[in-house]
Amino acid sequence: MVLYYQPKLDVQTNAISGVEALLRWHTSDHGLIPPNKFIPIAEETGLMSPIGEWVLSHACKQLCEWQRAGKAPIGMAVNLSPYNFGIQTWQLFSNESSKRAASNPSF
Amino acid sequence: MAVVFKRIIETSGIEPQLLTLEVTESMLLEDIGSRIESLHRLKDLGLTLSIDDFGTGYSSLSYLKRLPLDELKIDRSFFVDLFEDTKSRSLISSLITLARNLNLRTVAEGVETEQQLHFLQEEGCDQYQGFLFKPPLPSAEVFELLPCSEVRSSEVELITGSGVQGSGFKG
Repeated sequence: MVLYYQPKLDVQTNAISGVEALLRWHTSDHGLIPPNKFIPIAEETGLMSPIGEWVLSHACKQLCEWQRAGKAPIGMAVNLSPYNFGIQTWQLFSNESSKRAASNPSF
Repeated sequence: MAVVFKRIIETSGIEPQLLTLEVTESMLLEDIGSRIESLHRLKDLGLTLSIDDFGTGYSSLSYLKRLPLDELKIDRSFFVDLFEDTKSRSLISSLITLARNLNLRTVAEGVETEQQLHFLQEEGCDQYQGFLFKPPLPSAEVFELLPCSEVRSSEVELITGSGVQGSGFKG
């Protein structure tokens, strides 16, 4: 899995004000696989919650890395739509998930 | 609630106000009450909240009142026939006015032509994204496009003696 980033620009000045992180899956056999192909499979196999957390974590780290490398602080948008993550992303909000996270720092 | 988000924000070191979470209307169809509550808790972490693909699906204007939103993204489908259908132009214009009156930032999605951008400039839309500028790019490529922090970039040059291109984290 890899994140791609689409720039978001100011309409009046055309300056980059942020990026939107978008999930892609790159395979050696089939090249870049769009989310609408692999998300349904991930949903069926119960992988959407960890994928959603991976995306959020990587996007946040990426922005910090860019800033450490001298880039200006811009916005980072992460998409919580079912299309990209699956509706199970809401498990990230659930009480059960929160309890697990609270009791297990490695979660 | 929101514990996972809080942990990720803290461990990554991201400034919370720089992180925007985009939600779609379809995610709000089930159990709307608890999801609105969840969004309020995320908002309490200092995050920015955006409603994505607005104007499609089961749009409900009441969401704009009930959700703690900062941003409204206008769906790309409105731009496909922007100059063939006056209704599309009217809808975009109305959405921008609606958002402005609710103190929401507007972002146009799927902008592909200079004509479309000019229309958005005249209507007072805040931000846009789309192939007119760039498609989604890998980390290393988008890194080259990002503006430099004046203070930080001079510090980095002093340390490295050269640019920092290509050193971005490979998400």
